Amino acid sequence: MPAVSKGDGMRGLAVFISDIRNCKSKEAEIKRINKELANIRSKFKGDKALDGYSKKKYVCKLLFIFLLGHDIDFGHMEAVNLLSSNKYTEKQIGYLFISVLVNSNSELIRLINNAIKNDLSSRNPTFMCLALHCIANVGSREMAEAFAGEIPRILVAGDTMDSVKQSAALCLLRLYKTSPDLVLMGEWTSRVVHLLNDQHMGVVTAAISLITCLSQKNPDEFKTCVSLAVSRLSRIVSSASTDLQDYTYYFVPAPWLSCKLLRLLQCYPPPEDGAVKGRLVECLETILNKAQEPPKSKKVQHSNAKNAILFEAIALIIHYDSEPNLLVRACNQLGQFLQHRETNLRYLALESMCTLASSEFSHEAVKTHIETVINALKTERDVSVRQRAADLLYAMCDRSNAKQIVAEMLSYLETADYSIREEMVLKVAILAEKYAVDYSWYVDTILNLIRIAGDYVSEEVWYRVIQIVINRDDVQGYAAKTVFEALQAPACHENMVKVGGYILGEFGNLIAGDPRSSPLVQFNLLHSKFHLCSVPTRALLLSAYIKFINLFPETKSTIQEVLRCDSQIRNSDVELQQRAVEYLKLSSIASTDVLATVLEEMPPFPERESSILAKLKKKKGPGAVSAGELEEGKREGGEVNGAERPGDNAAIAASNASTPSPSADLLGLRSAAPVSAAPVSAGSLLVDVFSEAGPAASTAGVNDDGFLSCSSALSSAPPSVVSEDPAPPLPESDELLNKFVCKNNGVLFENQLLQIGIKSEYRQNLGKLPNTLRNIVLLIFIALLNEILLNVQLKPVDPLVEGGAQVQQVINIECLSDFSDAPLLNIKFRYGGALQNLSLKLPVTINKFFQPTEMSSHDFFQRWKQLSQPQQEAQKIFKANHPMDTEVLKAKLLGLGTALLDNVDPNPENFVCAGVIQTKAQQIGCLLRLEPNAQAQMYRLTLRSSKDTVAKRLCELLSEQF
Amino acid sequence: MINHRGLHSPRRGLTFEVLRAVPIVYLPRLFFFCACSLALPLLQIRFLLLFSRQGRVRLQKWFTALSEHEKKKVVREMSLAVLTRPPKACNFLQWKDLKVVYRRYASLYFCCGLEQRDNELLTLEIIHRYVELLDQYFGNVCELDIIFNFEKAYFILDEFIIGGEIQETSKMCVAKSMEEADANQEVGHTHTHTQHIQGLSRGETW
Repeated sequence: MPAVSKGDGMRGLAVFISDIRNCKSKEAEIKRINKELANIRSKFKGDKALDGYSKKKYVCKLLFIFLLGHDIDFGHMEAVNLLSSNKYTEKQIGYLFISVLVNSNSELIRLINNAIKNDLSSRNPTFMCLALHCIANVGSREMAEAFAGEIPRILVAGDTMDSVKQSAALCLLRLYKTSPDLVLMGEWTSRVVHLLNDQHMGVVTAAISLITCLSQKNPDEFKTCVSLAVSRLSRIVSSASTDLQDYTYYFVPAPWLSCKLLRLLQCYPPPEDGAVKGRLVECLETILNKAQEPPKSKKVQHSNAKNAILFEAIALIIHYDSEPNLLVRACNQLGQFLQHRETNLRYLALESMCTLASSEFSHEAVKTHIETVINALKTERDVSVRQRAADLLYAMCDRSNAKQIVAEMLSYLETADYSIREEMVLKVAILAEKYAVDYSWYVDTILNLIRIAGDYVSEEVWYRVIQIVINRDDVQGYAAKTVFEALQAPACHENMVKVGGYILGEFGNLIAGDPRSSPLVQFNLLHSKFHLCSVPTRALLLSAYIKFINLFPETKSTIQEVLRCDSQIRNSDVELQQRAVEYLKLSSIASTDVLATVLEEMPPFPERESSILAKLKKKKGPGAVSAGELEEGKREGGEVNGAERPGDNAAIAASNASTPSPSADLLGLRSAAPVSAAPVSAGSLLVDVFSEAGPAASTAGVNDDGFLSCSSALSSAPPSVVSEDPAPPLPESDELLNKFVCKNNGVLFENQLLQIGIKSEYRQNLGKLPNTLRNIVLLIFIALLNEILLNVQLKPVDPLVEGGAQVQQVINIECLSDFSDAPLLNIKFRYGGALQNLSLKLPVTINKFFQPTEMSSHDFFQRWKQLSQPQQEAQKIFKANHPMDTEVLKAKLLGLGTALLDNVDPNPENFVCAGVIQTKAQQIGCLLRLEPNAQAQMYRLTLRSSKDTVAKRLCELLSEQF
Repeated sequence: MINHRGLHSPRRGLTFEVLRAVPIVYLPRLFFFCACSLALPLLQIRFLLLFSRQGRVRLQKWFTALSEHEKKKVVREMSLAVLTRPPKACNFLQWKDLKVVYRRYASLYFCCGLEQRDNELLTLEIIHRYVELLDQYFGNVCELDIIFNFEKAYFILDEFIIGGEIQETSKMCVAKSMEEADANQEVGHTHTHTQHIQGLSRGETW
């Protein structure tokens, strides 16, 4: 027995619905529907004109069929006909059909718009509302074009009924969201704002949504709404629970309106007017106070409505982030909710606290709840709540509690829900890296992560641990040891094998001294996992094996045996097979020297923290590319990126040459050398720089045959090319230079187009040079991230360099006499049609020419005294820029090139170093003393040198390092 | 010096080489956390769905433009996510980039999709107010009322919410509009109920 509807009973419809419900199977349902569709179609096509009622009934049936999930391809015309009916219910069904089944048929849209226009001008409020609802439901651009001008007039007209005003306000909002360009408020602005003062609460409720949206886009024009909103809010908050009649919801006065007012205020900074601000703070305090009052009703609706306002008020307090009192009160309130028996409130408290944690005023207050939150993570039964607890732990984490939080998250991971594991893993990895004080903790954490939740450790995470281990030499030994131990477990995750293979392949030698982890033991351990791994991991392991051959010649025969066996050399996977064959050949043919070069330790990874990506995202604006897309862009070469090049070039454009020439791309090297000579050399040929006779030759000279050939390459270039001005060095090039004072290898520069890596070596017996001189061989690697045109002058390369390729340049540098300015490296290339010109300081500083000198305490102080003239000493006291770690300091001082002398200084905390700078002209002895003061976090650095300029320069350089 | 990259032919995009090519890393996922403070402060509901315990959709209202295909996907996936929730769990869940607020009334689930920063508790009460409005119109509403008079359920919703924003919170005002609409009806009617939703108006959730 079907239920008969209230209002206009459509008996046929009820019977049809009831039939459908009685269908026993999907097939039966479809059959019944098809029968009905055929029936309706024949009625619509029939000769007899249908009366309004039948038309309404059939349209309604079609709608029902559509809502069941079936396609409807007719009946639109009949629905449009209903729009012009005089009967309200017929019109209503017509509008409903149109709203649900929007059709982009332009002919229909015109008819629909016509009908809407008629209804809007009918002065019949119920018809007007129907039309407005339809516009809001469809919200298409065509409708915005037709009605965006009309609706504001209806909204502010004095004689419009309240219910129509409400519909008009929200209808306008919908149109504004779809086509903001078509909705012009202009003259209406102030009248719309004053709707906030309307007598009718419903009108205010509807209008405020519109005002909020508009004031986000034009905050200044709508600024007056702030004081109106505050006074309206204040009236509501202070009203008794019965004042607002039907707008009181379960004893809470106007909860929706209150929340919307608080939302509107979040579009603006705190009010500047003292009185308004005072009133608002009063409101917020009242809301916070009310939370402490006993509930007026036991109904959940009462507490929900009350707390909805409270959370919105807290959101506003967080938004202002300027009232420490309110922030702390808010935090305490949320703290109460954390232990509330209502799951919903616990969930929301955790969520709101996440935002509070980022405020400097309340961060500490949030941290006091750490135990409760950890407890929630462990005991909450609802995964949604646990997820929020994990989010909050992540947000409240800082250096002081990182270890505890990471440990808790790790232990939670063992039992965590599958749905949130991957996210948890990422969070742990980020926190571990962000707050790692010592990197052994970081390595432990990540390895634990892989052990506990290996399946959820994405590639990025294990890539990252390897990047960090490679870049930080203080942790390499520890990492090798730990990963070796982790691999002992009978069953370990494949990701662990990957990390293990990579790290042992690079740094296995650091633990090879221990007989328990001798080379052969290491190899056997890795190889015992080999057969259980997937192809990519096996390929990685093969690379690790060949590295072993280099690290430990004694393992050579064993490994060659492994490579030679059929399962490798005839492996069905072409990648594995090729590696096995190549590695086997390489290990048997190449001399140890070649092997050592080929299989050298990986150079440090570029520090590409988030900043690069973030910058890129900002540049590309909305619709930013994800990391993955970026990668793709690179591999595909310039095409995609090329199109947007002009914007991206901004960073490089700063140094762009003013006279672009068609083929003038070159990689040039220029000495920045003596400042006085700069104006002369600025416009001079690059050849000048390379020839020994050049004015700049006093600093950096050229002495290798390689260079002669390179200058000939230069001279063959068209003159116009060479005469171009190299760009001034990048503003940050000094900073970049400082990174290399105590370091020989690394990435000098990187942008979206290219990456410049430097590896410097110091050779004494090079060519015809007297062996007292130290020469630097700079290997410059230019890894191209995008396809660019490059014409390299030092050593000609293909004019077109593909994305991902690497160009190597070798520069020999001899120090003729002491200098203070680093030589410039000027790179010009063409990318996407634009000439790029990049000047960088080569990381060649005077200390690179140090020869370490070992000496006894007695000798040291004797020489120290000899250099006692005031100009021979340079001293500087400065604040520590980095943590004062003895090992790090030692490593830096060794990297400087001097000898670090033990047992010289009576105070063991101090460091003393000695070295001789070898220049062609003379040898300059230098003594160094560094006195750290751990309490004050200060250093005193003293340098004495036989040449005053050297002491000064070294002092300058070094004061930036610690 | 040759590193691994130099050693391998470029087509091998494997292992060691890959490391260098991958920029860091976790950031896209983190937007979720910072999105909280960036979202527009508007109380907008993206959609409202009513479905039965068996996942049959009884009413669907979309306040943002989606293709039919996308709508079906959302309905399928989200109703599954909601129906598999354990009893007594909280009324909110994170579903993709949306916040979902749901509540069960007898055999029907009422379910709203919200922007990230919307007010969940208030949305819960929007659902409740809608149930009260249905109840007021039908008189002790049940699922069958909504099935057989689906058009009325849509009309009531239109009086209450437009474009995802609440238009009128007063029960009396909505009732007045609906009465006006029914005023020019000619047909008398009987009203029978089967399977009433027990205590719907009293807001007992289960």
